[in-house]
Formats: sequence, structure tokens, C-alpha cells
Amino acid sequence: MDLLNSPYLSIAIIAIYMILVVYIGTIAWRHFPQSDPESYLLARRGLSGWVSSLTIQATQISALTFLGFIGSMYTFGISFWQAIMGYLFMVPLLWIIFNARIWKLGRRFGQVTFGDMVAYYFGNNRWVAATIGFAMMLALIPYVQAQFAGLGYVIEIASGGIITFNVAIIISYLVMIFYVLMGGMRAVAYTDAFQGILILGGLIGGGLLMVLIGAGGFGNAFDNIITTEPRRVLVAELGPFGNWLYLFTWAVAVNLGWPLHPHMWNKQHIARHIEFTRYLPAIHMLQVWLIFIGAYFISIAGLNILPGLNPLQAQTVTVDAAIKVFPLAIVGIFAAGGLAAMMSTVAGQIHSVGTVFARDFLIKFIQHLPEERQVWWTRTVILAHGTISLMLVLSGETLLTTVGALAAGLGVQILPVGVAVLTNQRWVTASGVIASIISGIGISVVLGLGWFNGFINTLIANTCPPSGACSPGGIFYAFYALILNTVVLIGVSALTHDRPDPQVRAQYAQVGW
Amino acid sequence: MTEYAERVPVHNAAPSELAAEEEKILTKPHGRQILHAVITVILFGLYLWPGGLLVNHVEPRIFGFPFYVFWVLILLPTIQFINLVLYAQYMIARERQLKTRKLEPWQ
Repeated sequence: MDLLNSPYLSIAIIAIYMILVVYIGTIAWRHFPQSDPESYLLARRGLSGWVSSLTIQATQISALTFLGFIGSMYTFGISFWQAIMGYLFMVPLLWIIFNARIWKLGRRFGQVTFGDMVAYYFGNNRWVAATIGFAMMLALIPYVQAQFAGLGYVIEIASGGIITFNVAIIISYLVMIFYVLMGGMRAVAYTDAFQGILILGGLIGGGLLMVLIGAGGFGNAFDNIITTEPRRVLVAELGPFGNWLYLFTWAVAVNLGWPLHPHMWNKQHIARHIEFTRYLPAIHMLQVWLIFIGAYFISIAGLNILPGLNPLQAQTVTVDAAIKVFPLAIVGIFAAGGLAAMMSTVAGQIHSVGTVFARDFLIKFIQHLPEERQVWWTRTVILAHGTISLMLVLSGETLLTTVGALAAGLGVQILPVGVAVLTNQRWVTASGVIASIISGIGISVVLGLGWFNGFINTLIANTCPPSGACSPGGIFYAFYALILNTVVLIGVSALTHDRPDPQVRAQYAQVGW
Repeated sequence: MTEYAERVPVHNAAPSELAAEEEKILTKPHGRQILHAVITVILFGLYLWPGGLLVNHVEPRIFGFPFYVFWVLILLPTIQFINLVLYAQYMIARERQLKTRKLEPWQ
């Protein structure tokens, strides 16, 4: 058999990648103390700007980018890319205003999670912390599930089917859980730095080569698309993104949701110097932009190489098209870039779930818990959450972008509360915060999972599809939830009196922007 | 945490000037943060809704890219990147100026 086309060579490349990841994770575990929460959860807030920016990039770029978004771009054209690249505007918008303040609040009060910040504002209110912690853990279940599914797809295809979907997921899970459990944030950050470089190289290099070799260059690739389906290169034309209102509400709600997830929020605290928080919007935007350009190239190549796929088939077009263009060994290298994207994200996510549990539940409800026990509980929750997500993904297939949009839609529901606390508002109350988050998450889940579509249709005919996400009136469901939860926050706060502690407000006012 | 404060030399300005400056620093976002955030929102609007300004079309092709692909993928993100670099440069320069005074790392 031709060596370059041997699936065993492709498997060997993937195996080398996994061994390297375990090796880097082991170094982080063996060479740095992990026994206290500050080390295990935040690497002692002492990482360099380079490592911090690469870990934030690697955490954000996931199976959604490598598979789901490329598949959706294949299906909906540049309209979808227009929605998702709103990330380059919405995330920096939040960070320009709040990022340095979040970093400084962390330094001042030892805060790690979003729940920490809000609970402290209300005199360490444990119910506020628990509500936020629960909401964020819920938001990450579909997100982690999507990453595992991606890992399974990529390894199965790149190994020529020798490693099956389920086996691929279990192997990836074991590798990832080992270094996360042992090495904590430092292992996550160091492996992410390595994986972040792989992702950049894999998506940009892979995308460029696929268009040049597989689709005959850009001119030819676009000519072909314009001839067969010109709507794929026109804005707001295809599918639900052809509706400006849906496009706008989706782009705002989803893209504001990404940086609020705990795996992104907590990492705002890991950098050693404040200067990093000022550079981060530009650096992160550049990283994600380059990766999105590479991903767009892959979707263009996919439309030329494998036309006519349905949405479910399209979500693996990245690897399917690569197999048509490259020998299997090169696909293995390319797949390693994709695996890096997924593995780094899932590692960051389940580490952050453990962090949320430790900070928002454990130390809020159990006073004077020894530090070693906090770390032990964090590790236990990481193991439990990872295993539940693994079992969920083994139980059925799913559309990655749909799941990702739900996760981001849930994440954005904490935005009104975050803005109120970060801007030190006096009128907001703890009851308002709890009601706001419960209503936002509740509406997102009900509409996003389509639980009451039949009932809504009996009230207003033809509002929702028979099953799946329901966005009445062409407005993305999480945007409805965002508006409603803002109204609930204001309304309940006006009717209740458990306002922030004046002393804490004075302390927060002293923290810089 | 202490490292940051320790390497900051003490400023020799008059206390009243310091107090006025500190009040401005600590209680609200800097004007440049607001400015670059507003520019971001405007760019986002232009990025998301070019149809409000132009007819939805493929031509002219720029570097082989159809017009709107160029708009979404290259042009508006380039302007946004410049916007963010300018923000970072200004704020970093300001942070360095502030380090001429003794500040806590969270101020």
C-alpha cells in the first residue's frame, strides 16, 4: 500500500499528537504545585501574555469552527459567515469596556468566576452564586457534547474508519481527562498554547491548500459557486440568515454569549500583567479572524470538491473534502489541527466546570473547607461532568452549530447582570439577579429545545416548527430571552430590597477600568 | 500581586492633582474605551448590514473575491483590527504613565 495513503500513518500522526499533549500536560503537573486552589484553578494568575492569548484562542476555537461552522457556511453561504464573524466585533466590544476591570476585580478580591463577582457584590450571597453557577454548568453541557462529537467524527474519518466514532471519543476523553485532572489550569494553558499553534497552522494552511490544489485557485472556485448558486456569496440571502432580523439577533446574542462562558471568563484572570488585557481584544481578534479566513477557504473548497451535501453531511465536509485532496498522511496532520481545536476547548470547559463548582457552590456553602479538599472536589466534579457529557454524546448524533448556538444563547443570559454589577449599579438586587438568570435560561431552554412548540402554535398559528428551536417572528430565541431577562432584572429589582452592600459598592468603585 | 506595585516608582505630583486624576481613573471607564467601543458598534452595523448602503451584488471582484465576501471577510475586519490596535496602544501608553505613581495592581 502507498505509505502516504496508509491509514496507519494517519493514525500514527494522531497518536504522536496525543502523546505530545500528554507529555506537555505531565510537565505542567510535575513541575508546578497543584495542591492549592489558586494554582489548580488559575495557575496563580501568573501566565505570560503569549500563553494566555494562545490558551484563550485554543479554548474558543472548537469543533464548531472546525466542523459545524464550516458545514453551516457550506449550507448557507457567506450569510452564515456574516453571522458568526460578528464575533470579531461583539467580543472586543465587551472586552474594550470591561476586560481590564474584570482582571482588576480578580486581583483585588481574589475572584475567579462570574458568580464570585456577583455574589461578592451582594455580601457573598450564596444563592446568587449557586444560581449563576448552575446556569453556567448547564450552558456547558451541550457545548462539551459538541466537542466530543467532533473528536469522534474527525478521528473516525482520518483513520479511514479503523478507529470507530465511539472508540475515538473514549480515547480522546481519557487523554484529555488525564492532563486536566492532574495539571489543572497550568496543564490546560500549556497544552492549549501548543494546540493553539496547531489550530492556526492547520486551518490557515489546510484551507489555503485545499482551495489552491482541490478547487483550482480562488478565481476558479468562486466562478464555480457564482455559476451554480450565487446566493452563497451574497449577504443575508440563504436559509434563516436570509432574514436581516434573524441575522442581527443571532449575531448579537450568540457572539456576546461566547466570552461569558466560564472557560473564557475565568481565563481573563490568568495573565500576569494588566497590559495583556488591553492587547487581548486586538490579539484575539487577529487570531480568530485568521482562523475564520482559513475555515472559510475550507468551505469554499468543499463546495467545489463535494457539491450537493445535506446539512448533516456538510458538518464533516472539512475532513471529507481533505481526503479528496490530500493523501491520508496529510489528512492526519490536518486532523491533528482539528483535534487540537476540540481537545483544547473541552479541556478548558470541563476545567472551568470544576472551577465553577468549587467557587460558586463549595466554598460558598461549606465554610473553612481545607484547600486540599477544595482541589479534590474540583477534580471529582471535572471527572463527573466529563463522563456525563461523554455518555450524552454516545447516545445520539446532533447538528454542531445548533448545539453551539444553544450553548452561546444560554451564556449570554448573564450579560445584563454582569453589566449591572461591573458598572456598580445601586438599584440592582439579589432577587432581581436570581429571577433574571432563571427567566433567561428558562426561556432559552424552552424555545431552543422546542419543548412547547405545539402549545405556542395553538396560541399563535405557525409560529414554531413542529420540532427543534423556535424563533418566533424571525427573532433568534436567545435574543428574546435576553430582552426578557433584562426586563425581569429591572422589574424584580424595583420590587425587592436586597440591594448590594454599600461597603462593597464603595470597594468596587475603587477598582479601576 | 505585590510585584506590580513594587516596581512602580512614586510620583512626585502634588496630592491635589493626584486626587483629581485618581478620581477620574477609578470611577468610570476612560473616554477612549467608550470611543473605541462606539467605533466597534458602528463597524459592526456596516459589517452586518451593507445592504443598507449598497445593492447586494457579486461584482466587482476584489483579489478574486466576490464583493461581499471581500466586505465580510477582509475589509471590515481590517478596519476593526486597526481600531483595536489603536485602543490597545493608547491604553498601554496610559497604563505606563500611571505607573509613574504608586498604584495597587487593581487600580
